[in-house]
Amino acid sequence: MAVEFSRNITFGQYLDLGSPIHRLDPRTKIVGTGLLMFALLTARTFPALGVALLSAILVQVLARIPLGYTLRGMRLLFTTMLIIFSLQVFFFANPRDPWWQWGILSLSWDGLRQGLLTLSRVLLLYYFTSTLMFTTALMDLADGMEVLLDPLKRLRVPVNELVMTFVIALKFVPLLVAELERLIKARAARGERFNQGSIVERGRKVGAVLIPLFVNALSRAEVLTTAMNARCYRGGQGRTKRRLLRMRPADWLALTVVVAFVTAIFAAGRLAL
Amino acid sequence: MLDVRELAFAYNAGRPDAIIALRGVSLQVAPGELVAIIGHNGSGKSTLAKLLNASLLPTSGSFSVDGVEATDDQLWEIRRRVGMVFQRPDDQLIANTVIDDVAFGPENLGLPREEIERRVHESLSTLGLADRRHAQISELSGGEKQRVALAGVLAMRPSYIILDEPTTMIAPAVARQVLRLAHDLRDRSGVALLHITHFMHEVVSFDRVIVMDGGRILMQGPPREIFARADELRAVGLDVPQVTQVAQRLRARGLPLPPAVLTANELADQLAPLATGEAKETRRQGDKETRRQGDKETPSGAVRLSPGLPILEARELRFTYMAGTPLAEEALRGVSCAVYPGETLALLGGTQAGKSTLIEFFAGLRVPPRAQLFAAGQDVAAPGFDLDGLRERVGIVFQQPETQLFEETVGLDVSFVPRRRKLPPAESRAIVERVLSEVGLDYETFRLRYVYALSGGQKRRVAIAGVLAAGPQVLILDEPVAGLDPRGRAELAALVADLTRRQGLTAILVGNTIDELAELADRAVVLHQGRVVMEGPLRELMRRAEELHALGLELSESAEAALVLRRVFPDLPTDLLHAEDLEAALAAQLGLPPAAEPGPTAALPVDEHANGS
Repeated sequence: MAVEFSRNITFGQYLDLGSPIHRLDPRTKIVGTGLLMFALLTARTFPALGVALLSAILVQVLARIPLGYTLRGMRLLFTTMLIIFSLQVFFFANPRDPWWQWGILSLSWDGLRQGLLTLSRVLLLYYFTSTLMFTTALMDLADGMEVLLDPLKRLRVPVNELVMTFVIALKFVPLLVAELERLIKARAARGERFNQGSIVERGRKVGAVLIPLFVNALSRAEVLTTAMNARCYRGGQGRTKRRLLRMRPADWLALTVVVAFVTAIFAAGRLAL
Repeated sequence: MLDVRELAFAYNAGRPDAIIALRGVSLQVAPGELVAIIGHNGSGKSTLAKLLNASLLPTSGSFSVDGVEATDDQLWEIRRRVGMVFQRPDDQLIANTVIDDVAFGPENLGLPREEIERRVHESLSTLGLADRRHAQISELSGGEKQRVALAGVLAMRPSYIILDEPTTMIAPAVARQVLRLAHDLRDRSGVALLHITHFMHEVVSFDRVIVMDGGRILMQGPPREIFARADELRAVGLDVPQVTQVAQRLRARGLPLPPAVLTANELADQLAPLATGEAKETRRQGDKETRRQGDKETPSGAVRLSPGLPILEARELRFTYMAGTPLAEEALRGVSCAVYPGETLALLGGTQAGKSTLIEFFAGLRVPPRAQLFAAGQDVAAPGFDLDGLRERVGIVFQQPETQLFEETVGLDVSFVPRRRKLPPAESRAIVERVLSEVGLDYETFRLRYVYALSGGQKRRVAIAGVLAAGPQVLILDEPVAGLDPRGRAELAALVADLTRRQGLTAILVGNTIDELAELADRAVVLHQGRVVMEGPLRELMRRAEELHALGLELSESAEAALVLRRVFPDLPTDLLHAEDLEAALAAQLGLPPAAEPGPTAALPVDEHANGS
């Protein structure tokens, strides 16, 4: 049993590869991702998803992220989604001319279509969000979000505080993963077998690790709060920024391409299939 | 001027469980002064630091910073003027790139963009981080992280910087570099430093040393004055640096030395005029003697190389972290080494040497491809190999084991393995009682104690007890004394010595320093960048001190001093572990008669062990 979660948990990891996508303004990337996600949520046909997949392939090529790395990160989600997929297929209500039926279980084109659509939509949604993280440094992302959410400040939404919370939460992901790894190793070294026993038993074993994990995380959070206070952090008020966000021609080009894809996804959605 | 008047603090003040941490401390720190605050754990030094940075509010007393009184409405002003670097690098860096983190403070101060840029670049270049400015925090070493933390504080232009034990979690050589950089800050920007530490050798270069004990200032003065009072320091669990100790011993034997010598260089200067004329005659003799001593040890170490089948053996073992990702990192590049039954092996190496990875393989927590790892002659990767059996035979205590205790109470944590094996309660209780006493904790006192309420040293003992409860044949300890104060280190080293000697356990001691632990070993293996580069009895390796240095290993204080003293005594040996060793070697060089009362020699534990096995 090799415990190396960090190899498989890729979400939130930034890969400094300096690709054209990496160099875009964070606002472009956030808005672009948002538009594509919105289009995906409305896409209910295969041609629409096909266009979305094309845009994903374009991003994948431009961002220079190794395909294996991207796919490895999706493995866990994929397994979960397969379960949901089979539920959707077999429990589809009132199918037209099913191929096979037994009680409420059935196998039909309607069910299969619904399952495939959901599966590919969720995977693509995850793909776009994780690629945003792979290609955007955390602080860029935070600054971009803060600028985009700026109008909300008039409604007295504490934008800076929310963004800072998000940043710190993400920062803690790899640290907590490493800590979890250590805790599991410490238990495994004392003879615990995590891949044995009933589901309840396994759940209990993992649960036992989570308690010290949370205790450690809390004490870390306390130190971090002190450290932030010591550096005079008191929320967004009166705070200034070092970075200057600037839209370059490449950003406008990227946005145009995204809008074109989104329009194409909508248009393809009108095609009946 | 930092003016502190009768500052006192208690945790949970006003409640029955109040803990008084500080009992009225008064002191003044002038602008640009370098002050070291020293004391063992629980002496109140860290509490004082948090008060001065307004992270805590005093129970009574007051202080002011350059005329600004520390009142509730001036907290932010105080925090700006008194910056603070904390112990653990991971917990104080907020952003995920170097430049963003350094900018965090200035941004909070609401400075204009150009000013932030200017300060950030200034701080980064002052701390030698200019070309690392876009690096991810997660890919930095511990020492680099501490430099980033220091740069982040510096960019706020404080007048005082508090360093709260910033060197406990990083390698000593890196710690020295961080401290040197901190010293330079005073010369460059006139900032005053308050360095909190429990390592005596770090305070030598400071203007003033404040010794704290029990929440009070015990004594203060220039290091030379403080070090001359070695006996008083020992009484509160502190000690003077080994060089100072050696000089004091030589002085007691009649050499004309001052009461406190601070550095090896100083000692060399003092001894230079004595190392002439007739002394040279006897030096030749002493020389032979040392050489003879060395010869004696070589065979005793070699003997243990031969017997029987290795209990664990790596053959060209290779491993890469994050294999197949852009973050891939080769950790082991063909390691070959063996561990024989009954021996104590020191596994030494600097950072990134691959030590921690190798012991995870030894403990059965990772499985290599075929024919790379053998346990008692059997291929670990062969089908049908009893991996669970290997894990039972090999107990491992990880770095900072106190963070890996997972049960609520001491009794539950230690009885984890007996309970998992479903032993009857009486038997389980007997095991817990035995292993707790082996690590020096009383069963009745500690059984029901909450793990989180223990001290750092106690937690480590509990962690070791938990591993011993499984009844292992091999015990692996990964940097067991790192991060402890000198008193804790000495106690734990004594415990490990006791375990390895008395229990007849095969032990692997992992570390980056040739210290009191490494000397327990019969044999040492030195790793560097995933390969074995040196192997042999420890004293034999220590004669190649320069090579060890180049491999990123930290030498014993005495060996380190000997390298400097070679300026005066070109053939001074470097296989020295204790102040006594260095004293004897110097005495031989100077032609002094042997000491009337020889200190405990380092060879003793090794011999005893040899007889036992």
